[in-house]
Amino acid sequence: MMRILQRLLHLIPVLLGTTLVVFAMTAATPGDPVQVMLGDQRVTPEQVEALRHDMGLDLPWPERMASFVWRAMHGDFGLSFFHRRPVIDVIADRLPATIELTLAATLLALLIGIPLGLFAGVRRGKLSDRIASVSALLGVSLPGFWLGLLLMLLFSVTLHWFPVSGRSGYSDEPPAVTHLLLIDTLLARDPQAFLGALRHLALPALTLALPMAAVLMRVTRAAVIDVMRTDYVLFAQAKGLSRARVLGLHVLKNALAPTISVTAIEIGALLGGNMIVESIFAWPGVGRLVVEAIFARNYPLVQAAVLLYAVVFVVLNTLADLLYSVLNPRISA
Amino acid sequence: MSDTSILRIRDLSVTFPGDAGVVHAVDGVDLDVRRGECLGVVGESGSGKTVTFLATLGLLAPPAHVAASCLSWQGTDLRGLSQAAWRALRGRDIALTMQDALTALNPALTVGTQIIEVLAAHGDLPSTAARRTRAAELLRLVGIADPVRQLGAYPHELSGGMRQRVMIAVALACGPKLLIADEPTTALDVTVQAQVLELLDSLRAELELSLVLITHNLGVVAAHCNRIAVMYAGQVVEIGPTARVIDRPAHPYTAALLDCLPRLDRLDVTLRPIQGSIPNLTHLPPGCRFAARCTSRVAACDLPQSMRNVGVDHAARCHLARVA
Amino acid sequence: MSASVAASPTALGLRRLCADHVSTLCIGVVVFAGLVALAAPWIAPHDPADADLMRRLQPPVWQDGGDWSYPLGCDGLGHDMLSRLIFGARVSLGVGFGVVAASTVIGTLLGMLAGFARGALDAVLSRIADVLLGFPYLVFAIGLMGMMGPGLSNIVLTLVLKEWVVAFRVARGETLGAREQDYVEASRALGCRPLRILREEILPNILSPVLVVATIRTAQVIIMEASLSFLGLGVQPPAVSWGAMVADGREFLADGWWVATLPGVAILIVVLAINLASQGAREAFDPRLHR
Repeated sequence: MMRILQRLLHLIPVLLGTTLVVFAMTAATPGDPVQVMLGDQRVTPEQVEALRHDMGLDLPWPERMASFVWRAMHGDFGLSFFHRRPVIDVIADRLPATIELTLAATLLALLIGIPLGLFAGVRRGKLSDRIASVSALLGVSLPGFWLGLLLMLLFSVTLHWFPVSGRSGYSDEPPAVTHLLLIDTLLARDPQAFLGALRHLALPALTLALPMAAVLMRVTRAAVIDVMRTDYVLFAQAKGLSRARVLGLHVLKNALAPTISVTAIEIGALLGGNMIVESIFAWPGVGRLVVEAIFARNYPLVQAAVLLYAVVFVVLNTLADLLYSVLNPRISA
Repeated sequence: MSDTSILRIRDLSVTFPGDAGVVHAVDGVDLDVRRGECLGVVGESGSGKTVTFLATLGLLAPPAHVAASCLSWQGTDLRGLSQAAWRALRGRDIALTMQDALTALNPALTVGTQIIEVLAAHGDLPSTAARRTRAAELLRLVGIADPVRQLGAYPHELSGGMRQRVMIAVALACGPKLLIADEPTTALDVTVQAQVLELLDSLRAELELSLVLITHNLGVVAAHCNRIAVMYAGQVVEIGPTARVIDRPAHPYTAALLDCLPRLDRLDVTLRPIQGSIPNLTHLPPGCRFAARCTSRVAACDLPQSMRNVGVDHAARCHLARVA
Repeated sequence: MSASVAASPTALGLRRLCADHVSTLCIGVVVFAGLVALAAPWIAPHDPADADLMRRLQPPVWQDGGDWSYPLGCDGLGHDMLSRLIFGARVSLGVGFGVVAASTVIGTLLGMLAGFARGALDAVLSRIADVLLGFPYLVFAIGLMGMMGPGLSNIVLTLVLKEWVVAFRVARGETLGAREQDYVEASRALGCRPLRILREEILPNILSPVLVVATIRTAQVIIMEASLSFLGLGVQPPAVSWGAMVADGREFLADGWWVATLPGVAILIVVLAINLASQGAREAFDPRLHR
C-alpha cells in the first residue's frame, strides 16, 4: 500500500517536469514562432498580434511557463491554427485510430514474443532456440520504417494480400460506439467491414509488433533461462508436476516480471514508432497528425501530442511497476 | 539383505561437459536403500551426494549424462522410464527435499498452492476443498501452528525453520515411501536444526518412511541413521552400520572425517583438519582418489581401488582395510 | 586460466572477445563500414548528388538493364545508389558514434559526480534524468526536431540531449556501488582528493559497464537517426543519409524495389554487426559469466 502511494507521489514531479520540458521546446523554434507558423500566409498585423496573444507569447516567460502548465493540466493547448479548432479536439478525433493500432500491435507482440521466449529459453542451445534467437536479433536490428516498407512491398505491392494504406475500405463506417473499428464493426454485426478493417490493420500492426516481439522474446528467454536454473523449478519437477504446470506456472510467473517492465518501455517505443508507421501506411491517427503538424509548423499541436505521449508513457511505467510487485510478492513486502 | 532394499543403484555414473574436459561428478556408485531404514550419505560438497540422488530421480537434464548397470525402484527399472512414468513416481513414491527451502519454494506462489498442486498432480483427492483440508493437515503434521492461515502465506513471509517444515510437508503430501532429504539442516540455526531432525525421526516412525539423509555433518548421521555411506570425489568409499563405521572406520577418509569432529567426551584430543582439497573431477587420478591427502599412503594406493568387505554389511574402498 | 591470473579484467575481456569469431567478424564489419565512410570522396565511383534522369531507376547490375558503371542501380532521380550508400555511411555512422561518444562522456562525468557527491547535485540531476526518461525516445526526438527544424547539428543536439541519460544512470549506479568498496574507503581515509579518487579509483572500475552499454546504444542511435531522416527531419539534400534514401524509395516500391531496400540492408548490416559485437563484448567483460 505504501509502495503504491509512493509511486503515485513520485508521478507528480515527473509529470510536472515533463510539462516544463515540453514548454521549453518552444524555445527551440528558430526565430519567432508566430512568424514561422504563419509562413507566407497573408495576415494583418492585428491577426499576428491576436495569435501571439492566443499563444501567450506576449507575456514574460515565467508567466508563460506557469500559464502553459496550468492550461496543460486542463487539457487546453490553444487553437490549432491550421484546423481552426482547439488542438485537443483535433487530437481527440485521431486518438481512437492510434489506440486501436497500439493495442493491436501490443497484443500481437505479446502473443508472439512471450511464447517464443518461453520456448527458446526452455530449449536453450538447441537448433530451434538458435533460430528463434537469431530471428529476434534481426528483429531488434531492423529499422521499423524499413520493415514497414518491406512488408508493404511484399504483401501489398507484390502479393496484393493487404491494402497499401488507410484504415477502412468502406465509406460507410459502422456507428461509432468504442471508436475502435474492429470492435465497432463486430458490434454492428458487419463481417465484411470487420474483415476490411482487419486487413487494413494487419500490416501496420505487424510492423510495430515485430520489433517489440523481438525485444519481448529476448527478455523472456533470458528470464526463463535464469528461472530454469533455480532450485524451485527442480523442486517442482521433483514433486512430479506436469511439464505444462512447471513451465506455465512455476517458470512463467517468475519470468514474466521482467517482461512486464520491458513491455511498458516497449509501448513507449511503439508510441514513437506510431508516428513513422502511421505515416507509411497513411493510418489516420495521432502519429501521422504530429508528422503533418511538424511540416505545417503547427507547434501547439506538436507540443500537445508530445506531452500526451509522455504522460501515457509515464503512467504505463508506473502501472508496470505496480504489476511487477503483484507478480513478485517479495518486492511489495 | 538385498530383498529388503527398495531402491537399488549399481555402477551409477554421472558426467558433465566442463570447460576443461569431462567432469566425473559421480563414478561407479553402488547403493541400496532398505525398507524403513535411515541411510546417511556423508561427504564434502562436490563429493557427488546430491547428484547421485538427482540422477536416481531422473532430474538431471542434458548436458548431464547418466549411466548405470542397475537403477531400480521396488523391482521397476528406472532406466528409460517415460516422462509420464517419472512424474507418477516423483513426489508419489520418492520425494525430495532440498538444501535451502528459501530457494526451493517458488517465491511467487503461496504455500497452499505449492502443497495443493502435488496432491492435484497425483490425483489423490478429487475436490479442491478436500485438497485444501489435506494441505492444512500436512502443515499441522510438520508442526506449523495456525495451518489454515499459513496456507495463504508466501515463502518469504515465513521463518527459515517454518520454510523447511513447509518443504517437508510438500514432500510428504502424497505419502511417499522414500524421502530423500538433502542437507535438511544446513541452512538453519542450531536450535531449529534439532527440531527439524526430530520431526524427520518422528515422521519416519509414524509414516513407515525410508529416509536418505544427505549431509556433510557426521554428527547428524551418527545420531539419526541406521547406516552410513561416505562419499568422496564421486565414489562411495565406505558403507556400513552407523555404530561400526563410527567405532572402527575402515577407510582413512572416514577416519579423518571423524578426527575433524569435536568430541565432548575427549577434550584432550586435538582436532585434526584434513590437509589439501578434493581432487579435480576433470583430471582424476587412476588410483585411490584420497591418496594425495592420506597419511597412510603407500605405493599400492596408486592402483585402482575396489570395495572390500571388512565386516558384516561393512565395506570400504581401500586396499589397506582389513576385516576387524 | 592459470596463465592469465595476473591479467587485468579489461585485458582478459579483450582476449575473450578476440577468441569469439562472430564478434571478431562483426567488429571487422563495423570497422570496414567506418573506413568506407572516411574514404567516401575517394572511393565513391560517382558524385552522389549527380542526377541524370536518363538513368532514372536503372536497375542493379544483376538485373536486366543494369550495367557495371552503376553496380547497385540508380534511384528515382538517377543518382548512383552505390555512391549514395557510401556517402550515407558518413551520416549514419558519424551521427551514431558521435552522439554516443558525446553522450557517454557527458553522462559518465555527470553520473560520477552525482554518485560521488550525492546530496543536492545528485537529486537535481536524477530528477532531470527521470523526466527525460519519461519521454519515449522517438517521441522526444521527433517532437524536438519538429520544433527546431531539420538538419545535422539539430539531430546531434536532440539525440545527445536524450542519450546522455543512459550513460548517466549506468555511471551513477556503478559509482554509488564503487563508493562503498574498501579500496575507495581506503583512499579516502588516506586523504586522497576527491578528483583523484574519481579519476584513479572509480573511473577504471566503472568503465567496462559504461563502454558495453555505449556499444549497444550506438546501434539504437543509428536507427534513431535513420528514423528521423526517413521522416525528412534529418540532413537535407544534397547531403545523403540511409534513412532519407529509404524515404526516397517509398514512391518507387513497385518500379524500383532496390531504391528503398538497399539502404535498409546497409542499416541492418551495420546495426546487426554492432548488436552482435556488443553482445559478445557483454559476455566477454561480464565477470559473473566466467567463474
